[in-house]
Amino acid sequence: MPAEASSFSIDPMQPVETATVEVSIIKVVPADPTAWVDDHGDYLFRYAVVRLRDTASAEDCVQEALLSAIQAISSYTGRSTERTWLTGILKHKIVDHFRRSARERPIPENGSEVSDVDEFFQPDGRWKDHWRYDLMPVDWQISPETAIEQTEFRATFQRCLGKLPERVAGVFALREMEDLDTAAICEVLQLSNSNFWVMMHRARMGLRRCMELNWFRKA
Amino acid sequence: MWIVKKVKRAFNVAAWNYLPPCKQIVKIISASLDRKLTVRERLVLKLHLAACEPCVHYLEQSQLLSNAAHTMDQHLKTDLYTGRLSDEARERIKNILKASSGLFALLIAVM
Repeated sequence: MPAEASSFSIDPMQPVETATVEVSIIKVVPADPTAWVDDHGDYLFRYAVVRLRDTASAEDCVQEALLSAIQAISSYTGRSTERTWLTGILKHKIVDHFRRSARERPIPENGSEVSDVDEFFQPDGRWKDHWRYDLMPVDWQISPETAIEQTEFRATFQRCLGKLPERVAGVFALREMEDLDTAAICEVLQLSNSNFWVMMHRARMGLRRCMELNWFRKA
Repeated sequence: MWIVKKVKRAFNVAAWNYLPPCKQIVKIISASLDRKLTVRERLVLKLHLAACEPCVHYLEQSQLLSNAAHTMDQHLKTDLYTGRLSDEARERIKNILKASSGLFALLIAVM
């Protein structure tokens, strides 16, 4: 049961019209919005910080989202839970944040973030462009389901996301966490298609290697 | 039967020599998580994976990481290492909300 259903009660003894009036009044007058901070603040903050990685930006996004929520309260139908509704607003604020920082600091052409991933492969010889022996992916000997259930795995995953170059991590977050499609991400971050693919590839290579070093080898 | 084995092996060696190296294959693997591969890409990938164990691990592990990213939100309630809203930010946001909702209620009352 959604919690907000219990915030008003419909008395079976009352005529139906009175009850409907009561509902519409409750929808217009905002419930105490400061309660949102106590009920959902930590959740919203975590949601933002795993995507943005920066505490201050995450706090800003939560604040903006809750402010927008006050103005949008009449659009809240109670069909989803309060938390889902607030998270939906927060999503937009996070995408806006990415859009703004991409505009303020565009990605330098030919910078390391958009250059080809060469460092994992042999530079020459018979096995040119095959894996370097010391950087080859090894067998992690664990089923995906088991790995994801491990707190240690998830914690290391977050730490590894934190180590990616900022813009590379942004592309990864929008694609794999926000589930935006390629065209939308290129528009938000002002990326060319080919830069998008390189950055996505960089993110996966970096994350995988980081997990191998910090999770698999230490387990 | 040995002749079939020999032909298969020769085919694999030829494939290994003429098909793109790991560096190209991992790009295809990465792309496979974001879009539908072309027929050619799928064929190249299949032949390569049959002979290259590190790339098989790369494929499995990047799928795992993609999965981990997608399911991250399910754990936000319990994974406390992610951190929490600091007391200072909590107070600040509450004050701003109070001020703003007061103004908003006033606006409604006036209208």
